[in-house]
Amino acid sequence: MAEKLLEVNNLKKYFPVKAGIFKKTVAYVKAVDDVSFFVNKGETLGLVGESGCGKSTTGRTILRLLEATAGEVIFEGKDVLSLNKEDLRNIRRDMQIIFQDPYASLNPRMTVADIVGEPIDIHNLAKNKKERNEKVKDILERVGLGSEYMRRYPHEFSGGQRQRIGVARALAVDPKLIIADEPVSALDVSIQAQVINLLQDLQKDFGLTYLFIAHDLSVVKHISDRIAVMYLGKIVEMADKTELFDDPMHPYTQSLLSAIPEADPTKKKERIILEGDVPSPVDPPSGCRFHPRCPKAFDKCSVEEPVFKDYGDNHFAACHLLEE
Amino acid sequence: MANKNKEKLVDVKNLKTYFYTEEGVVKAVDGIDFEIYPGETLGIVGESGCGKSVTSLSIMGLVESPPGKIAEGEILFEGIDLTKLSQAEMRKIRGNEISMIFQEPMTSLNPVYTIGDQISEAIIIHKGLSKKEAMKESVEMLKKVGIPLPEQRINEYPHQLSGGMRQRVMIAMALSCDPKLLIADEPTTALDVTIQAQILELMNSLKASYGMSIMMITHDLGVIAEISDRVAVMYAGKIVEYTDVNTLFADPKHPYTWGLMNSIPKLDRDVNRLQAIPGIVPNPLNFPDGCKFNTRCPLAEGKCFTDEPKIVDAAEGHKVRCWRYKDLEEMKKQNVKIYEEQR
Repeated sequence: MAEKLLEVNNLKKYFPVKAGIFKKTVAYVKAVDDVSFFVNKGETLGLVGESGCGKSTTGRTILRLLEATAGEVIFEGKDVLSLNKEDLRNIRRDMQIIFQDPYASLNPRMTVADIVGEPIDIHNLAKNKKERNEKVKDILERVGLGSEYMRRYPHEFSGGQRQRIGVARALAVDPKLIIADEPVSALDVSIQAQVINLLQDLQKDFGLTYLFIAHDLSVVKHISDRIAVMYLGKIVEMADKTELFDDPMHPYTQSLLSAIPEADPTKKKERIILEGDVPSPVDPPSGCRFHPRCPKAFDKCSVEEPVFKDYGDNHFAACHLLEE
Repeated sequence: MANKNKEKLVDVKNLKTYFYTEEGVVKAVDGIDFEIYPGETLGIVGESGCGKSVTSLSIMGLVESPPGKIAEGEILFEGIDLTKLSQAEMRKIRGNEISMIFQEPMTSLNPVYTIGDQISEAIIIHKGLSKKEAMKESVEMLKKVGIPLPEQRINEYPHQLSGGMRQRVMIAMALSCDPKLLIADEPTTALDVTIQAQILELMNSLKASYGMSIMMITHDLGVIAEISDRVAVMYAGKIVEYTDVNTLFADPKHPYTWGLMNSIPKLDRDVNRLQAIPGIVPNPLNFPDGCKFNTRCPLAEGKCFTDEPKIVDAAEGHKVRCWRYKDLEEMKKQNVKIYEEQR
């Protein structure tokens, strides 16, 4: 039985919408609304969905970069959401994040040595400056950047190299879990492959566990062991990746998979083109949130919310059709 | 190909668009040749900085000058050289015969005018209709691009629409004057995949009903496979491979094309590691001697570092710019992994 490293139960994150001169809360954006999943030690869980589905908010709420509205985040048996400041800082040594935009997530006034060294200082992982610099040098080499880059500033690097710096910074504290939030989306395809290979190598070498958040399904399929699909603040389906791609249960997953343009002109795919846009998370549709766009919706879907449950072999889904 | 008998709509010959900066001359587009036939979609694919967007801006006459300049070459549109036209003459063609849509529809729409104002503006200028007639025509256009409740939408502002809807408005605007050529620069890159699928389908169906040609610029090989008839692959300001879409994907002859195709994860087959192209695109101020891909090419040797290869016919209708494309062919036959699974 695989050991769970991270367990998320009924996580909710609502953002208040304020209006008027007294900034009264008039509504809530339900960015993450009752999400539950787990990540086993050493595996990669892919979290996919379209913009606004709440995948990034989920990642940030787990790390408490955003405070959750309700729910539980259990990391190695500890409830992350109830930790005090000091315990939180300690646990962040084990949980790190890599951001999408390598241009915006590095301080332009800090040298690479300081960017990568900062987490080492914060967590007191080096006895002195020499040891710290040794560590930085070592990590930079592991991510494919030579020590000659240590004194340089972020603007001197290309996008792919900057993302390597971001990875190095996350690795500096020897974490157990890395939440990678769209780590390759801003990169060119040829560079994307380099960074994906790097992440996989590091996972093997350091026994890392990844929560890999992305919108690109082919990338997620390549790197993940299991995949969770989000739509409008909810996980609609979660399964082993082969299972999910071979036998998608939820109509949203089915249309999402059919929409991916494949680099093969001889393949004419049977497309399920969805009508309309994703509705607003301020006022999500009643019942199943996907029902206004679902090609298979029936009466019950607009009234009752489907339950997210296991349909065998850890293949979870939330859809009334499956209950029939 | 049936195309051979057709008149060319666009014929670009030895186009060079340079930018004269303080640090030196950036040869963004450096001697490219291609043609677009009526009713076809030409895909131009390449990574950031390869010159694909500058190519489209050159055709539109929108290269900012200074620092940019078309240094050499011809852009023949129905036989007329666009590079020789005055600003006034170019304005008549732009938006009328040739239209363009961009990646980020929000930055291309004016936030203080309604959708209806913006579509009808083009119609009034180019078709000489009255405001009232133009508004009616705008509603028709919005209907054609699949916008629900167009009578209401024309009175709304861009911020009231979603990204996919905005791109539809852009398309409606671009098509309002029945252009012969639509240039689409990464039109779906900012959109989600389900919305991307909608827009690509819309473009394909509009192409058929309008009989126009499309020049599709993108970095996404999936989009290229989906929509193009023929494809030009660009790298560092040059076309490195040029052929029809099926041939390109079945038999890529340039090591760069081959590398690109192998660096993307495939949905139908699992691999443990991706074959990444090593290194990065060279600095345009400091391109290497010889073939510009030689800093990243696993096949590069001797001649590749000294002499720039010319683009040649490797087969009927299949052009490639590489000294060693025949060797690559052999290696492909023997299933050699050209891009090593380096760490």
